[in-house]
Parts: sequence; C-alpha cells; structure tokens
Amino acid sequence: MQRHPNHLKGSALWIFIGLALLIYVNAQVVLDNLDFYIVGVLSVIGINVILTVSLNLINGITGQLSIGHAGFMAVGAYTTALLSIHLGTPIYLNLILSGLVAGFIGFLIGLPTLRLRGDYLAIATLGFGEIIRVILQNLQFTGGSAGIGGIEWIDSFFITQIVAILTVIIIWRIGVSAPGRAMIAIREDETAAETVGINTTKFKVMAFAIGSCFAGVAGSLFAHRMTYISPDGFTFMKSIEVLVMLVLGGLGSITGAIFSAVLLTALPEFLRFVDEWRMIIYPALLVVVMIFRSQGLLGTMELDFGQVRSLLQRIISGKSGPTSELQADTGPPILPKTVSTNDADPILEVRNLSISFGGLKAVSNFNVEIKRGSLHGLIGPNGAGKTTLFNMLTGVHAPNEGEIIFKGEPIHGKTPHAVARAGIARTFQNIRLFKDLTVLDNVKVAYHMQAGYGLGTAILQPPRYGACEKQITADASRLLDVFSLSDQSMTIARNLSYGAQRRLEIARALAVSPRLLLLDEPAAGMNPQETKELIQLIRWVRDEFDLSILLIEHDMSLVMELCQTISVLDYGIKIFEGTAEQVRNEPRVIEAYLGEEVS
Amino acid sequence: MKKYGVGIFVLVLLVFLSTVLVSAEPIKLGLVGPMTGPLAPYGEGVRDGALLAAAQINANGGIMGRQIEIIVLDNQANPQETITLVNRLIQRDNIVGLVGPVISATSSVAGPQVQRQRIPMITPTATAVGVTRVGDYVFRVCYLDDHQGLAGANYATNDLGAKKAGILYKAGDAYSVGLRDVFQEQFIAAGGEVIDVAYNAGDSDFSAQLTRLKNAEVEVVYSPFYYEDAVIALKQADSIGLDAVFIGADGWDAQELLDQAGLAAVNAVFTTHYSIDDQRPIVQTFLTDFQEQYGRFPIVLAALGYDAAALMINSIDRAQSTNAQEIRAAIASTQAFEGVTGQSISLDDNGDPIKNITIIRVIEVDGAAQFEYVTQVSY
Amino acid sequence: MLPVLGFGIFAVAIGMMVVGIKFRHPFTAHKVGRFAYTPFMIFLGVLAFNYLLIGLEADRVYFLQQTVYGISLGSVYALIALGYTMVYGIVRLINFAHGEIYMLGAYAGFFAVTSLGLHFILALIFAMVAAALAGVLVERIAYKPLRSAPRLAVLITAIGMSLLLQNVGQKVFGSIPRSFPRQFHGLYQIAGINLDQSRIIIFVITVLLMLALQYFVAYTKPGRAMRAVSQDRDAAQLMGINVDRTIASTFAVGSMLAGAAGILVAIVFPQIRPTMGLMPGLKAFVAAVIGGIGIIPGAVLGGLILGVSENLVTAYLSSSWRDAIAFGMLIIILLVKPSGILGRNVREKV
Repeated sequence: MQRHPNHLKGSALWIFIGLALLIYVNAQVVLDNLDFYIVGVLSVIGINVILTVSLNLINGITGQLSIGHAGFMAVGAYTTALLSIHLGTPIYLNLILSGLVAGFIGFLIGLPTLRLRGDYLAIATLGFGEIIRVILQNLQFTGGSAGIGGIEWIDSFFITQIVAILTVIIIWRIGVSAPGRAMIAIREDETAAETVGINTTKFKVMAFAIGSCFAGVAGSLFAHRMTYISPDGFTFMKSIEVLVMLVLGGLGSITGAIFSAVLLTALPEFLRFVDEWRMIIYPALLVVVMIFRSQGLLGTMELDFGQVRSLLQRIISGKSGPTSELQADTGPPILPKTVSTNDADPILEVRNLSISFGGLKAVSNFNVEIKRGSLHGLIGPNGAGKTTLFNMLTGVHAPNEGEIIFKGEPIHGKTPHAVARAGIARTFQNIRLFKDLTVLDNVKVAYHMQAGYGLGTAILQPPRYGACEKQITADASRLLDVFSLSDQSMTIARNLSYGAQRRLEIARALAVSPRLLLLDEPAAGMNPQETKELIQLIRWVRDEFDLSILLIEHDMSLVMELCQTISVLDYGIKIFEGTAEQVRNEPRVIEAYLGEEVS
Repeated sequence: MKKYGVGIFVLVLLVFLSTVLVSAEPIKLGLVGPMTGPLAPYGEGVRDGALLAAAQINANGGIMGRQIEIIVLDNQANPQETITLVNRLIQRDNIVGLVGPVISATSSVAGPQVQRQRIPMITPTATAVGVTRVGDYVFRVCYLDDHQGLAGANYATNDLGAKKAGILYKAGDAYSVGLRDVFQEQFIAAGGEVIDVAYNAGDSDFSAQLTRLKNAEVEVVYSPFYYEDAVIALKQADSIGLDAVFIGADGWDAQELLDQAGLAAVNAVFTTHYSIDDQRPIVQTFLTDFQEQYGRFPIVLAALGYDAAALMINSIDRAQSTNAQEIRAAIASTQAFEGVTGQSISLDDNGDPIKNITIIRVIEVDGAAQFEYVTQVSY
Repeated sequence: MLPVLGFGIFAVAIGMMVVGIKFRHPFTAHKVGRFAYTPFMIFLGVLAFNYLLIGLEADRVYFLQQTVYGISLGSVYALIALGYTMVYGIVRLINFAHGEIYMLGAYAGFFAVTSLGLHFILALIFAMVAAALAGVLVERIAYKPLRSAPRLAVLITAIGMSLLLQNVGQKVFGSIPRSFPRQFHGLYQIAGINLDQSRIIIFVITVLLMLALQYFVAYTKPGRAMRAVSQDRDAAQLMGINVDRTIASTFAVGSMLAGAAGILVAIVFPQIRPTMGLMPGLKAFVAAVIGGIGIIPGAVLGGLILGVSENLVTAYLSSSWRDAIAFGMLIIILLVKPSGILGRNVREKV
C-alpha cells in the first residue's frame, strides 16, 4: 500500500492479471451452476465499479465536487434504449455510442460549470443532474415518466466485467500519466497548477467529460440489464449512492473505489436478514465510518504490487533505500540552453501598468525593463503592491491599464498557464506547493509542458509513453539533485522543512523551463546560512539555465548582494530604480522604506 | 468472503427452515415489494394481504398436503434491486411462483427475469399495460390503466354529464401519467374539453394547480394519484372554493382518505377494485380476518395482494404440481376464479384479468364522511 | 389599477424587508455596496413588467392569487433557507440533514397539538425547541468529530445523517402521512383575492424571524461570536470565543428556524410525512444560494423568488418543468454571480 496513484508503474499489468483471474473464477461460477442471482449481483458490482471509478476521476483525482453523476448515467441508458429499440444495434456499439453521447453532454455541461468551485460546483452539478431527469421525464420520445421498456436483454455479465476492468485500467493510466498529474495538480492547488503551465479549464473539462463518458457506458450496461428504464431510476439519490461508494472507499483512491463499490453492493445482500432495519443501518454505518475514518476506508492509498514486491526484496536482501531509478544519472544538461538572439533587447518590458481593486489603486503607472540574464530586485514596504505586480505579470490578475511585453510579445490579459507557456515561471510568497504530493511529483507535474504526449498515449501506453515518462522522471530527479532534494524525493511535500519547501518551489518553477523567473520572497523564513546558500543557488540557476530573474525580497543583504538593478515600490508607485549602491543612498527610498530603521 | 457469506446465508436458511418444517416441505412462493421507503404502505398492504391468503389456506391444511410459505423481500421500489431479489428468490429459495412486484416500474423489470427462468409471476397491482406483454409467464389480477382511465372518463361524461374536465396528475409518476393519458383521450373523444395540471413528488401545496382549474371553471377534476395526495387536494380545493367533482382512481381507496380529508371528501367518486359493502362471504371474511390478524383496516392493495396470492395457490392446487410450467398453464387457464376483487375473474391471452371496475362515492352520514358503493362497470 | 396596487403591495413588502434592515453582510460585517441593489431592482422591474403585461392582459385576480400562494410557499423555503444559510455561513457545511430537522419540527408540532393539546403558539415554541435540540444533537454526533476532516467527508456525513433521520422517522412515525389539525380558519378577501389567515401568519412569522435573526447575528454577543467564527475559526478561538459552543448555538438557531418552518408548513398545507424534508430541503438550499449564501435577507429573498416563480410556472406553464426551472435558475445565478443576488464577490488571495 502506498499513497497516490501517480507513482505506480507496471502495477496496471498486475491489476489486469488479477482481474483476469477474477473473471476466470467468475466464469467458472457461471458455467458451473448458472446462478443468476450471483451473476446478477456481480453485474451490479461491475456497473457500480464503473460509476465509482469514473466519478473518482472527477471528484478524487481532479478534485472537482460533482454530485450529479446519475444524470450522465441516464443519458447513456436512454441512448442505449433508443438505439436498441429503434435500430436494434448490438451492445458493443451501444456502449461506445452511449459513452460518446454522455461524454459530449458532460463536455457541454462542464465547460461553463467547471468555473465554479467547491460546494457551488457541487450544487450546480446536482442541478444539472436533476434537469436531465426532468427533461427525460417530459420528452415524448423517451417515453416520459412511464419510461421505455423492451430493451434487448443481454446477459451482460462478461461484458460488464470486461468493461469494468477496462475502465479501471484507463482511469488508472490517466491517473499516473502527465494529464493525470495535471488533474491532481488542479486538485491540490489550482492557481499553482496554472503557473506551471497547466490549462486548468481544459483538464477539468477533460476529466469531467471522461467521467461522464464512463457514466454513460455504465448507463448503457444498466439499460441492457434492466430492459426497462424510467427517469425515476436516475434521481439525486442515485448520484448520492455513487458518491457514497466513492467517499467511503477513499476519495482519490481507485483501489478504494473498487473496494467500496464491491462492499456496498454485496453488503445489503448479507444484511437481508435485518431487512427492516437496513435503511437505518446503512446510513448509520456511513456516518460512523466518516466519523472514525473521514478519509475513507482506504484513504488515498493504492494497492501497488510493485511496492509490495520491492518491500519484499528489501526484507529479503536486508537493504533499504530509494529505488534505483530515482538516482540521478549523469546525462545531458537538464534543460536545453537556448541561445539568446540579442542580448541587448530587454526580456520583459512593462509599460504604464495599473490595477485597482474596488477604488484602491494597488499599482499605478508602473514601468520597468528587465534585461536578458539580469537579476532584478523589487523592494518596498509591505502592501506596496509587489505581489500584485507579480500577479499581473503572471496573468493571475488582468491589469486595468498598460502593457506587458515579454520577448517582444504582449502577454497582458493572457491566462496564467499561457504566460507560463510563454516562459515566465514564479514562486509564491506563501509557498504554494502541491502539498500532498511527493517532492518528485511536484517537479514532475511542472514538466507538464515537456511531456510531449496526450491523453491517447496515456491510455494506450505505446513504447513512446515509457520513454517520455522515463525522461520526465530522470529530468525531475536531476533537478532535485541540483537543489539537494533527491534524498527526500519520496517525501510528501508538506513534511519538508521550510527552507526545503522554498527550494522545491524554485525547482518546480525551473521545470517549466522559463526564460524569466519571478521569485516572491525566496529567503523568507530562512536562517542566515540558508540565505547564503540561496544566494549562491540563485546565481548558479541564472547562469546554468540562462535566465533572467526578478525577485521580491525583504532581506536587504540578499537583494543588495544579488541584484544588479533594484526597483523600489511604495503605495503602488515606483519611486526609484537603480543599482544597490544608488538605492542605499537614495533619500526617498530611505524615507519610504529603510527610513524606519534609520530613525 | 463471497462464498463464506453464501455459506452463512444457507446456514441461516436451514436453521429457519428446520423450525418451520413440520411434516412436508412447504411450497415456497416469493413476494417482492417496497417494505421500507415512501411506498412502504402499499408494499406492506400487498404483503399482509398475501400472507393472509396463505395463512387461511394453511389453516385448512394447505394444498397437496403441504403448507404454503411466502418469502417476502423488500425492494424499496427500486428496479435494479428488484432484479437481484427476483433472481435470488428463484435461484436460492427455489420459489415456484412470484407474487408481485407491487409497482409497475419494478414489475416491468421483473417480468423479463421470470420469463427467462420460466417461473410464473402474478403481480397484484402493476397497472401499466406493458408489464404482462413481456411473455407468457407474467400475469396480473388488477385491471389496466387503460380500463380504469376509461371508466373514469365514461363516468364523468355519462353519469355526471361533464363537458369540461380538469386533470391534476403527478409528474414523473408512470401510474398517474398513464391514467391521465387515457382519461384525456377518452374525454376529448366524447366531445369534452380538458385542462391538465401537474404537481411533483413530495409537493404538499396544490393551491396553484387547483386555482388554475378553478379559474378554468372545470366541472370535474380527474385525480389519478394516491390517497395521501388526494387528502391534500380535497382539503385545498375546499378551502379555495373549487366545487368541481373529484374523480379519483384506485389509489384513493383507503380508510385514511375519510379519516384525514373528512367532509372535504364528500361527493368525490373513484374507481377501485372492490367495495367493502360487497356482501359476498369471501369479501366479508377477508375484511374480518384481516382486521383480526393485523388490527387495522386493509387498504385496497391488500385485497389485490390477497387475490394474487390466492390465485397463485389456487392454480398450484389445480395443477396438482409444483412444476412451474404446469402452474403457468393452470394460471393461464383460470376461469371464473372468485376473489375479493371480483366475483368471476378470468384471464385473457395477455395474462390480464377480465373483471368489473367498482365505482365508489363519498357521502356524508351523520356529519362524517363514508364510502358508498355506486355501481360496477365492465370493460 | 389593481395590478398596480398589487405590485405596490408586493414591492413595499419585499422592499421594507430588504431595505428596512441595515444592509450589512452579516458574516463579514462589510457594508454591502450600492451595486448589490441592482439585481434586486432588476428583479422588481421584471416583476413589475410581468404584472403589467400578464396582469392586465389576462385575469389579474388569478395572477395575484397565484402570487400570494407563491409567497406562502416561498416563506417556507425562506424559513428553511435561513437555517441553511446560517450554518453554511459559519461552518461552511451544506447541512443536508436540515430538511429532516424541518420534518422533525413538523412532527413535534403535530404531537404538541394532538397529544399534548397545546395552543398553536406553544406548539410553535415546542417545535422550535425540539428542532433546536435535534439540530444540536446532530451537530454533536456527526459534525463535531469532523471539524478538521475533508469537506467531502463532512458532506457525505450530512447526507448520511439526512438519510438516517428520514428512515428513523419512517420507523418511529410510520410512513403513512399524518393530517395536521387545522389551526386557523380565517379567510379574508381583498379585491377578489383569497387570503387565508394561515398564509398571512406564515409570511408574517417568516419576516419577524428573519428580522430577529438579523438582529441576533448583527448586534448580540453570541451573534458577534458567530461572525467571528465564520471569518476565522482559529483567530476567534484565540480571542477567547468558545468555538464549539458557538457552532452548536448556530445549529440550535438554524434548527429552531427549520422547526418553525415545519409547523408553519403544517398549518398551511396540513399534511406531514417522514419524507417531507427532502425536496424542500434541496429547494431551500437553492433559495439560499440564489439570495447569496451566508446572507440572511438573501435567504428570504431567494426563498420568495423561488416560491413565486415556481408557482407562476405552475400557473402558466406546467409543474412538470418546475424543478428543472428552479435548478436552471440556480445554475444561471451561479454562473453569472456565484455569490448570489445579494452577495459580494470574493477574490481569492494569491
């Protein structure tokens, strides 16, 4: 058992073998005594596994609270019903078409809705789920409230098992791939995900559409099993049922989703003897589990055969330590050096930048030029608008006025991920790591843009996939090595020391391959020794990666030692710009900022 | 774990059986219906009626020298669960016949299952037309939505002479919508005008709908839904001054309607399956035995549950066999079976009963509302 | 003339309710800016337009009658929504069990009136107290152990509690609905519009409770504590506020309102059942979001908007589309102004 799906390698194969075995056993059961009861329960389990695992992609992996899954199941079920009755299409075709239709509806709904967050999103998805049901209830060709009967009955046992296994494999593969890492990053911190170049809208909608697609597939299987469907079967309570399975198993854990789908489908069968009390026991059990194990039965743990194997090996050989693949091997430079075309051109030009928040002018008429390869400092008292400026440069806030020209291209008004793609990376004043991911994964997420493969590759895993992933892991490990974090590459980021977190955040920013790096108070909270090392590091980074760096810092010794040019900001206005020496002697700066210390 | 659970289950079953087993092994029937959840009163009514039928026969020595055992399972009116339960009854409990399910939606999914496994099923209460059309193993003892809606519309036009009818129905409810469709079609065909308004499950305020009907000056309000909603509708119609005649359906046939709606219910009529004023001994025995057994008055679905179980048992007796195919043949050839809900019930080729529809009116007697038998119509 | 008068009454009623109170966000203590009125004014404008258009063209008495019914339905939503909004504003929890507390309130009122033979006012108080106890109990058992748990776990627990109470209700009270004895027989007619005494009472009590709640949250010490906890639980604790007790009292107050809603709904629509809390609970949450969750007048405004528009849908279109339209309204509000009609948009600090 280990945390998080995203460092599972080869385990999908084991799962596949395990599940194939399960099918075989099931097949024996079926062939031996053709017990429709057991077969039926197993089919229901299969459908519930598909529903739960697909909801896990949306709620668990991507962290978007959706509680309207039954709506998409209904879309799939009705698509199948209509196809089966009017065209008599075979189940395989129905499965695919139902999935596509449900996925498309999911895409249409997700596109506007996924702008919402948390509870608001939850309640909007609930609303959409209900709207789908009401529409089905009112349409004539879907049979209205009476529903549709006469769908071809198919002994869907084998098909259900196979589709369930395929679903698990696909969702699993998405979860461990670059698109999956992007989704997990969105779950952990949407803003930080944007700043490493992840188009959060795209990946949220993608997860939502894929989840809906599989809900549609489940609906299709459901329709073929039931032969008769009506809107009543897809109420809010059905969505809740799936959600409960997911959360009970452990949100974000595919193993947990499977486990609880099996448990919650089979359990009522064993509770028949308390039939009358079942409806009281079931919710009571739910509440109790949530109270005593709020992360779900399995938490975010995943069953990982690879991990078990290496643990066994370790026990046998008596050795301990990280697995070999993570050790950085000497290789080509981490990032390709681009040759600066014209060193004289500034990399960043900011003209007349202004922004105000509800009447308060946070930054007004700010101008700056940052030369290629320079180390530029930005200082000013608290509340001077430094971070706001960073936010504008990285697209988090759109400026009210002014222009930002980066590498000769205007970037103002672009989204943060587009800015990151253009080549600006940043760190945050209050450190925004993906706190529940490992150190290695934090960096791997940021290699998002370099992944060079998409969803199709992630699911099919052609040889290219392995090569890409290997490359990313190797690059990430080397980067960690540079920042002396490789010993802790498997540590969960939130458990790192403060200084290490700062370094990790810089490492993550570098993984974006920026041309310009924005550091927001990198030395905050560091001791003098760490600060000294940081100064070395920043210089080294600048030279090694051929970057320009703009940094905000309150530690004057660092700024003065490091920066060739320093801009001073006070009340949103740039009051001075010059070398460290000039700044130190400038009365206005002393008055605004250093003045406190003098007097 | 799965195997283990099954083992435990079998063990429990064995222990249970050993206590029941007296002489010969009982003949096992299954009953599936909502015993918990909002529809529980109907499931419980059907269950109690069916169990009463079995108890009466068992008290007389059973059939073929064997006792009847009815295994009751709760499906919470959930179709998916119904499939599992029906298969379980057939595969695990080896039932020879199924009584139920109660709701049309669950009966629609149970039909294909029993058909596939060749076990006869008699649903007491599923009125949707499609239920018995899935195959020759599916029967019912209640009349269809078509017949009931027709009877309601005919009563409105012929007996009440209404020209303008309102329909208040429950959106999303197959039973209610089905009856609305039939009534509407028939009433319009007879030259009437119809205005229909809907409400949603869980609503407890019909003021808006009734005001709309009042505004349209309807003479009758067809109300195909269950009595608890009828109570609300009648009371609110009373308070907003809508004085059209309410025509209900079999869902209205419950003592609670009188208890809860009181005088607001007076003048309303409804179509149902039998009348408690029916003096046939079978009806009166059913009423007294039921109240003796359960200490309450039976809802109408209890009578249907009783008839469904009685017909199943009667057919087994006629077949003198527990072979499913022979039982099926016996049910299909039912002629002039006397039940609580019909003096002479026969089944047609679809497995639907041919019997009369009873019409009941609410009247005022000594300041209290009471049911009064009006007439019976055939179809 | 009449539609204008009707519109006037309605506008004054809502206007008094909303403008008469100090326009202040109860949990953040920010003054709500002028722009907050704009959507409200648009709503009133649309309403006025509707009145003129539909009211004059068709049967105006019918229209106004339907609006009156909508307001009483809206009052129920509003009362439940008040509790939702309180709890959400302070604990950030969608308390799904709130609808069941409302159900328990209705049953408490029922037994108070039938078994104990209490007067309506006493029964109202009894129901409120019983609901408050139930609410606090639910909080203690299910939510308190989950203070630091993931949001979704708490949400699931709330759903679990909701199902549990509903099913226990069915066991204890029986699934057969009960008829609530009629309390008020008064019926007034103003310009051809029927006004039952019970409908007036429910509206008046809703407004009174809203004002009392607003006063409680804005001006009393426990109210201040609630606002403090809503802003920053840790900081509030450091300021010597007993956070657990404050949250418990939030649940108590919110549940009290749900209890009041339960018994009030029973006097207007005199039937109660164990499953009665499900849909109104959801709808009330929708109302709270439409009005701006966490904002007390917003809950009432949202409730009334929802109630009136649902009734107008029933009156002129068909009830079978009603729920879709209610949720459609919710989604549009969420997409256009997620903080609700009276809410302020909050910017995430980066």
